[in-house]
Amino acid sequence: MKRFGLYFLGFVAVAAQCEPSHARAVIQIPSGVYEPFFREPGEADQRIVSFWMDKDPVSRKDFARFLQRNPEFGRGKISPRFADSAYLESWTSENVASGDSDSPVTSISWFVARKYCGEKKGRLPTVSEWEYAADTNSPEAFALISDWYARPNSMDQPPPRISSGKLGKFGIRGMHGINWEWVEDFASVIIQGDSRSSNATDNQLFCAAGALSAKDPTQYANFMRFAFRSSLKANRSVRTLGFRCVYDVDPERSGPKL
Amino acid sequence: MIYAFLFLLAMLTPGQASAVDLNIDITKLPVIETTPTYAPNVPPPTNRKTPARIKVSIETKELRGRLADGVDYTFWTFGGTVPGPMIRVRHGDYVDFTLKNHPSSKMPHNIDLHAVTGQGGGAEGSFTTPGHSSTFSFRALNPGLYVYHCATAPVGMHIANGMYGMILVEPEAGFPKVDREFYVVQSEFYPKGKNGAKGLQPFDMEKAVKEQPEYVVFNGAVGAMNGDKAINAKVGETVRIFFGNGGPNLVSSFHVIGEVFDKVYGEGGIKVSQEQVQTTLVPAGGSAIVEFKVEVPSTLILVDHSIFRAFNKGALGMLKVEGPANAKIYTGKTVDAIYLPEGGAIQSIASTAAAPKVTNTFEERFAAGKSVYLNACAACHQAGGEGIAGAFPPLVKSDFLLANRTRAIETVKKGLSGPIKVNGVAFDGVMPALGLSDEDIANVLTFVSNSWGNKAKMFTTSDVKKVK
Repeated sequence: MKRFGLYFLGFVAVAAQCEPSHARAVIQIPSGVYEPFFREPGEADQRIVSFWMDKDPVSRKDFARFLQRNPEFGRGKISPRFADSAYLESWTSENVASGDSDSPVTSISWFVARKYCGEKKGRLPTVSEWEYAADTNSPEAFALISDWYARPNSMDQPPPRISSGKLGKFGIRGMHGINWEWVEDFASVIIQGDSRSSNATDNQLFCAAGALSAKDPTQYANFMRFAFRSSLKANRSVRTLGFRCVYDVDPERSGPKL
Repeated sequence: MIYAFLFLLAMLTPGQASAVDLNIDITKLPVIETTPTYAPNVPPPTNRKTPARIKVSIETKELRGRLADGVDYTFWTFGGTVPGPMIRVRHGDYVDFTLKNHPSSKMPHNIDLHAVTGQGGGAEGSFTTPGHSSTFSFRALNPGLYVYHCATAPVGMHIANGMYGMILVEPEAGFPKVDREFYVVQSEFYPKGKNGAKGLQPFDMEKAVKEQPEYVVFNGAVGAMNGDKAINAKVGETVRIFFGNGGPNLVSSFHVIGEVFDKVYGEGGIKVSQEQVQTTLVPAGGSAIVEFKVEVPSTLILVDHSIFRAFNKGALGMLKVEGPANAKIYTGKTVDAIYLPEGGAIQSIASTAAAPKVTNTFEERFAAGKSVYLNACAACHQAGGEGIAGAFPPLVKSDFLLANRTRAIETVKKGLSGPIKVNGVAFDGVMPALGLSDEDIANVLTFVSNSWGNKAKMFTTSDVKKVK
């Protein structure tokens, strides 16, 4: 992860000057406590400091505007170091979004998602922030995600619509049941490819061993999400993986730092 | 000299795996590309005397499919089918394995082949994001029949949704030649809806944790080996079944009704562990190889002899054996006679019993018929008359039952076997003659033809008597 972080520092600096961000609905997530799904023995609950979050995932329309301002992130132009060949796979070479602008942008790499949020003076949420805002330990979240995975994708199916997303506990839309979403520290909980190994490097996360450190081994939706994240690399683009941004609280005007 | 002798010994001792020569240059091995072979078919024997480099590629795909008639399920698959394709290599082969995860997948997947010696049986080397592929290589160090399955968290769910199959590592000398080989995998499913509940059913984690499946099936769906999808053999042939148990939870008591396994390679190993076996135990995540010669024509029924799984949850398959009958082995029924016990004691007890109640009205016949039905018929046709898809025809709105009264009486009186169509769906099974009295037959037919929305005239005892 360190290596990626270093790449990225250089990467942000290049594009530090950008247009003011487009007006978007953001919602304040109150401070609170997140009980980690996986934890080391003795690890305490995490205190989450209040932050602001996009109400909706970033749409294809939003992203098309971003590409107009930053054509170097277009498909075919971006370095393979920052995005693999599946990047924006359904977009034409002119960077016009195909499909509905009410659909979340997907097939996007972590580098570019991060760049996008940076341009908005925001950032990607951490795993803890995302899980807390999505109220992932609730039965409602489990029901939504269970329903979602049980409907398989077909290749000719139109992409999901943002407006079809359900509002969560804090009024954030579609965190479950539309797509997976990027988080800043997606690799911080390393779930090994073999879900049952239990050597020292994987924090004893899996199957039999993993079930011991999981908060609740019957929370299959959480296992699915953490396993999905752990299969990612920062330049990966996946058809069911989008993102949304978060913003730190601006102490001067008690609103988001925008 | 001594080495040569040991080598010879290793070659000649049956069921003894010799050591693999790891010093051969793998770049010089002949390369063999494989194409997937799906159940119930088995890839052909390798027929090789030396190791090769085998290329295997499997695509993981999440798709909607049929679990039972009218019941769909979102399967997670190797190769688009449940079970996944069967892989066949030879002891000592070097295998380059590529796992491709289809871009439409929502989950990452991987593969743990029990035949692989290495981290997670390959799970670590094959962990793959949707829209990507992974390749790893392994040496087939241990001959035998092995399960493979997905081992991505939550592992139980990936298996419960259909991600398993078999890899056969042939011993160097191969298996003895047989006439037919089949690939059968048992597994169980845990949908939200009860057995028979229609529509697309999602996975029910609670049932999986309690190990209470709604379906136990062979080759991925209820009826996947029945009727025109039955496997076939001819009288006099020798049959070998590569039988795997994908689980995720249940241990199978694998049995073939109407046959005895001549040989069992217990737990999928490479030596015959027992001969003349009626039922062999196959653990979840384990296997067995069974061989038997089919001697007479019949429809052999493959079951999990934990028998409610077979009759109520779908664990039924058929092997149809065709050829000339042989009365020296089996005659079929030769005598069908009335049995009247004799002796005073029995007579005197009978005389104290209440006289058999004569039923005349529709209501009386209906009520008496209901109790006959529940005792004699419901085990197969089910209490609600819905039958079991692929095995026992429904009586609810059954055209076969309602269209022809004489045929209905004949069926109950004499039994019925062979192919029939009920409401357009083909069945090919056996209903025995149950030996009911004419009175009971009239009553039970009155009941079934006037229940669950059926409507018909009352059957009387004299109606039944007329049918000889």
